[in-house]
Amino acid sequence: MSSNTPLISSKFDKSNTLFASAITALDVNKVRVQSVGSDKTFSSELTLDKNVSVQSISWASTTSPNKKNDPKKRKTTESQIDDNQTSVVAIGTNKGEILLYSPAQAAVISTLAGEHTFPVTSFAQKWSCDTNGQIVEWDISKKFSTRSFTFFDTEVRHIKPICDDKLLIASHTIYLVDPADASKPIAQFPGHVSQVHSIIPSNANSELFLTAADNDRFVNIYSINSQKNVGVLVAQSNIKSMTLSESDDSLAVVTEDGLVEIFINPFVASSSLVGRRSAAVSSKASISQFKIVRPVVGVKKDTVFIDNVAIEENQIIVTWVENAANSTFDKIPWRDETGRTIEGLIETTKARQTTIGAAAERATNAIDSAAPQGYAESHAIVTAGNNVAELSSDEENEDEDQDSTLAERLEALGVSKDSEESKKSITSKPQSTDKAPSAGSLTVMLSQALKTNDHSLLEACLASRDETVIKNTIERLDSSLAVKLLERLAEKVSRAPSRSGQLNIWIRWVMVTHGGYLVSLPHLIKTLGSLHITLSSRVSTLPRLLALQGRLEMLNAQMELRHDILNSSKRIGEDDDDEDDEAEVEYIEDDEGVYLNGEDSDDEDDFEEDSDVEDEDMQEDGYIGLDAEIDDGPNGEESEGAYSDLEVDDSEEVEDLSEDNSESEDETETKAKLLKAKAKLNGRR
Amino acid sequence: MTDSAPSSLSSVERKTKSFGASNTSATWKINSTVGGKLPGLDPIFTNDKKYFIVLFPFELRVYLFATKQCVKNIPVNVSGASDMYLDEEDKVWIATTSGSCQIVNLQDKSIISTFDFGVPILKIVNIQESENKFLVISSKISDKKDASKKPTVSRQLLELTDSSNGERKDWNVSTVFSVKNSTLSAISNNKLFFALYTSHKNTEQIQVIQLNQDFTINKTVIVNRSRAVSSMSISDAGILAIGSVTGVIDLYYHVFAEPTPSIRALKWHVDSVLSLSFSLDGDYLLSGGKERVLVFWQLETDNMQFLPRLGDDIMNIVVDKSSELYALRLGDDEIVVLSSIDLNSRLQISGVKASFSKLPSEPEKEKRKRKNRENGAERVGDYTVPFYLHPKNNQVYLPINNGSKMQVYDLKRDEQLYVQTIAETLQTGKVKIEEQIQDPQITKVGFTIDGEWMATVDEKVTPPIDNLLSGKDKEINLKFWKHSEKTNKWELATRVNSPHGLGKSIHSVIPAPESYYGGQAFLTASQDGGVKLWRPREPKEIKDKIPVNKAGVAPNTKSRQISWTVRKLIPAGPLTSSAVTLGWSDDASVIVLGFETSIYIIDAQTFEVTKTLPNIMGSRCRSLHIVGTYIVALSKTRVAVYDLLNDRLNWSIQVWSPQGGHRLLAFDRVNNRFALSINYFTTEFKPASKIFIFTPETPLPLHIQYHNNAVSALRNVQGTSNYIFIDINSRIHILSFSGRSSYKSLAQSTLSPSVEFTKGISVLYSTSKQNIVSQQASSIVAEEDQVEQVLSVHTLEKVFDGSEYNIMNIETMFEKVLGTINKPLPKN
Repeated sequence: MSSNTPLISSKFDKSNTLFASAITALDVNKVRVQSVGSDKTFSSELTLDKNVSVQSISWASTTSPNKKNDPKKRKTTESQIDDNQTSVVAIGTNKGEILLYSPAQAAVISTLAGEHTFPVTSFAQKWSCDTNGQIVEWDISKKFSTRSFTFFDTEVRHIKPICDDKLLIASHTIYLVDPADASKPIAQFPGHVSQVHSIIPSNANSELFLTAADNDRFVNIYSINSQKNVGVLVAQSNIKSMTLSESDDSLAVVTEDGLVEIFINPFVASSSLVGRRSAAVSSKASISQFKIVRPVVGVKKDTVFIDNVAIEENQIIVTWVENAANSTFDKIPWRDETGRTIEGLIETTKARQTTIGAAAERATNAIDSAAPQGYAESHAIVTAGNNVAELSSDEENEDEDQDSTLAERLEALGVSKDSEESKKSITSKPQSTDKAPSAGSLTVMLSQALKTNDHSLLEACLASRDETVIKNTIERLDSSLAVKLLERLAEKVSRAPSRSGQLNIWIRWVMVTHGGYLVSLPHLIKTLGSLHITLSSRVSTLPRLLALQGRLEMLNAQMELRHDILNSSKRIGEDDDDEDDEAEVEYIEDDEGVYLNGEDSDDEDDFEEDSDVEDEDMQEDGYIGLDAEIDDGPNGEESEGAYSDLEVDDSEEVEDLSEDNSESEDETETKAKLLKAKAKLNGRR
Repeated sequence: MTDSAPSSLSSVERKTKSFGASNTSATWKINSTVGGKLPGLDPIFTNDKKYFIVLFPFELRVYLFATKQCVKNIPVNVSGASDMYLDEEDKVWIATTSGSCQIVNLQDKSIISTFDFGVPILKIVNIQESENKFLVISSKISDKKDASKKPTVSRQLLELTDSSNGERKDWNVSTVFSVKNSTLSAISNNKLFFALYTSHKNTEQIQVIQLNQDFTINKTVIVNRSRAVSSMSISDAGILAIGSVTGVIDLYYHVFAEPTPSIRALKWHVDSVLSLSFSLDGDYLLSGGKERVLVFWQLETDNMQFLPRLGDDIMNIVVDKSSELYALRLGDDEIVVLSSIDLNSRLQISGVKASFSKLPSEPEKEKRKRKNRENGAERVGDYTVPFYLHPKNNQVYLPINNGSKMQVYDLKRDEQLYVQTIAETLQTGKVKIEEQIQDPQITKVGFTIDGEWMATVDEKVTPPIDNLLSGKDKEINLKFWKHSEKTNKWELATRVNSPHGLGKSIHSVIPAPESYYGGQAFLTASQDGGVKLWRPREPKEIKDKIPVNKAGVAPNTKSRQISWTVRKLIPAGPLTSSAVTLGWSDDASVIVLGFETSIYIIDAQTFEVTKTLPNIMGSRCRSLHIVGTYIVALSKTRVAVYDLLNDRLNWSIQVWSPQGGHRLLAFDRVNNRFALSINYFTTEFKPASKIFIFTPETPLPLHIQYHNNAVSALRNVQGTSNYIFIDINSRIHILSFSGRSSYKSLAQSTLSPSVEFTKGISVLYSTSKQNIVSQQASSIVAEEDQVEQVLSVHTLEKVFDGSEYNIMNIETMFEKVLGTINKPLPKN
């Protein structure tokens, strides 16, 4: 056996869901059964006594007598649980005992002893064989031997019962034996020069079987009827173990190099040769090889040594050892979806799993088995329901349908020519201001930018804020580029919503100028899907913003009212009533306790208090006002705000503020207002 | 009406059964029952700490901690079980409130014997003297003659001695003590201290009793309480811990000390302390409640330790004898065993966590409710439950109550596989006002035919706590999950935000039939009648980046991200309704959309409404299916089968279907059958149910399955004739088909003239095939020449729709049909 793996022996169970392996842990041997797969749903372990070492491992099934006698047992549970309970791992030990270990109960349920005195090298179904050539048949449920004989060739190490109650017993030669008459083998199959370690009879054709031996690259195919070697499968290096698929159509072998090789239809080629009575036995090479490598570090590629393989319909399950002790599994497809075999050398890269990483993962994720499966969105694609970019367009009727829909939606956006013109008349004012006249049109630049996907050039075009320029540019733009421009615009708006005010002008003019062309386009809803999402998601915030605006307006009005009342009451106080002020002063005095200063300081206090109130008021106004001015001032274009959803509020606020300001005698400057308030108060004194 | 109905029902049933036996080989029977709610009994740790014994709805299960597997299951009679007691010889005694007791031998998994105590048993305290002397807590209802007063319930500690020489028939009963009006009791582990809580006429008292070793009373004391008690525990040293509904735990150190015992209050809980338990050495007190936090109080040092974010409210805590393991019974039918050392779970056991919309109340109450109602007296409530079946492995998916999680239950192993979280949520318990904050609710689940994809819809409502602008917002997400072969779990592939627009609920999610892109598509319908078709696609950006693969790597590309996008849509209308449902024909060419009372036929290719059907439902739709060439429509008041090709109503019968009625209609794609479950009340006002299995051709059911409890959901096992249903006890039954595979054989056999009974049906058949009879021709069925009279489905429909039959239920209807078309059968 190769020294590349710590596993002494390993086996998959029949259904390929459990994997039994024997490992050496310090000075004792352990047998571990775990579920196949990355989730460790099942794992149980048996530690053998000191000095007891595992010679062989195999899966067997046993039926417990209690189960069967229980008539009340319900069917469904029975099948499942019985499966679990009756499949046991038979462990042949060097002490000549066979331990039957039940993974479900995590206990040795029975020990078959008393017959073998030498290490048990093989156990199959109910037959076992030891290093002294003794062959024993067991009744597993009753735990005693039913038959026992010593074979003349004491070198035999492997045993395999086949149909008709015959046995195949192998040293380097394979003997076909009838247990009833064990003295003389029925047939001998020479061919291997070293100890045979696996015999697999064909599932379909009971007269054929495969053998593999230690330090041998060949799998021999023997026919029982013709009693000779009918074919050879040649692996690329010495074979460690092999597995035949259920349908006989493929054979997977694990080689000492740690590769898995797959032979297709191992029996087929050879049987055809038998028919032709060819003198030479046919040889066949593997069709595909599987290799697991570590990610390349430097020049060297580390190969992972595969311990064992199980073959399924379209994939193989390979297992290898990580961190010197942990068996890890992976499923690799060996046929593609069409059922074609994937040929050649297939390398799978697996990063080394570090214990630190695994432990850390467990610690950070803290997945307790009792906890529910968490919700993980990190690998998911998040999209919105109104994303119709992928609307299928292979039907014609649909297009008409969609056209009208989009038309309706666009209409809902309020883009119509009439309103445009009326808007234009409003916005014509800034045009007439003495701003530097622009070059008139950026069409050439824009088309170039769109054609070459030049983002910076496009950005330069879009930086233009002069509406005439925009209009001119778009008017001269080729209609075929309009769609592209709209897509770019939508992208930009969705990335930076704050730019929508400026970009909306572009969108509007594209719609106005090229609307006719756009409507004639097929699959419009699909093409302009991104624009639609962007706009509709922005529109959807409008009701909420209106509600917010309403609330803010009311707050504002309330503040104003309070402000007015305060002012008027102050004026009244100035006129005739000084007592109020004094009372106020006294109150503060009381509050402060040891306050014994003159009236001056009282005044100050008073002032501060009052101005605080006013401050708040003014800050509220001032904040909005300043904001609006920055937005509005440099551009001097009201129309801009009017077309963006977000800035509708602002423009309203501007109006509010202007009213506010017109009422007060002073300028909008906050400081000035403060000063004024101070002066007012001082005046009162 | 209700009195007469059941008798006629049974007669119908009898007839149908004989009919089934003589004419068809198609029968169904319930062949296995799994699931159910865990009886709330304390689980037991075996003395060697290796095994854990839990009582399941049908059996006793023994789990092995080492492998976390169930190693033994012993069928026992669970009804009324109140306590389990494990004796020294590995025998489990299961006592019931009726007084019977079963002794189970764990070694050879058999019931040794069953006997009767003669008194209701709440708890077995001790078994002594070679199993002849028992100390039990029993309840006694005072037999007051005065009927106006409520009977008082007492809890007693009884000493029962067998006087019949080991036969356990006659008992010498001696009462150790008896406490009136007691509702809660606690026993110390050494069985020497007892605490019994009584609450009567606004006085809250706890009677603490100390026994001597020979079980005679040593001391008793009464502790007066001002707050309602929610849980109690008493330690071996006689320390009494009392948890109150306000969240304060009071510790009474020396209860028997005069004049007043020293009290210490432990404050952490915000809401009721639902469970309290001392560790067996008395060093720790464990408490838990709605916060879903297990609190460890180290009594000497005042240190506290917490284990937060448990799955549900902590209802009970059981400590094993070495105090190394704690078993917590959590609110929603779950037991978790924790290790006290690392606080990791060692084992998790769970029942079926179905969340019912409503459960029937006591028969008396239901009777009173229906007394004054003239119309609709036979109606039963909506006892349905969201219940989804994975099409391939038949795992059951159940959204868990008040949560965004879904339980995945394996019917074969009869255990919970895992719980999948469907939406982002904090796993913390909610107390008091926090309970108004709702987690996202799973409203719809669908699976593709191949079972590889799952679509879920969850809705989250903004809590009404603050008066926010967003107060009434609904956040709706449609999620597409891919089944990962590697982990055997679901992985989220795509989340679609507001799939049908802001705040638009989705009322129907159905998978595509196999013939449509291999079933890799989902259809959704929203509250405003909008329909969207979703199909998976790899995002363009990713596709472009990855170079074309060699043939050998091709299968691996599957693991990449896949996004689901809208491919086709039907725009929504202006109306909104909660009655929106979809159906898709097997050949994928026709989609039916039910909106309120109308049915629209949609061409699946062009996605245009090609036709609007006449009002065949008469009321709001519940569910629509295309079975063969028929539309089977379930509405609030009827089941109608509409022949699409001949464009006419085939038949309809009147049923009353509750809100969740669509869950009670299952449909079998392969054999073109459908099953409908009808819940009703028996004469004793207990809910019962009948499952009718129909073919679209006739209103004569192929089979009627009686079930003695209300059915909550009915589903077909894909690709078979079997059905799976869940009843209000959370038990899942498999109704499997035993007979020849196709209904066609049945049709042939019914057509054979030799069979007397089928004469009527054959007439029905031939007429429906030739389609020659107009509605007028058969408007009235004359009593006399009925056999000669040519019948048509329209005739039958007329019969059904007659106003005088309005209050009849389906059984009576059926009988009527039989009577109409089959003269040889005697009426009534």
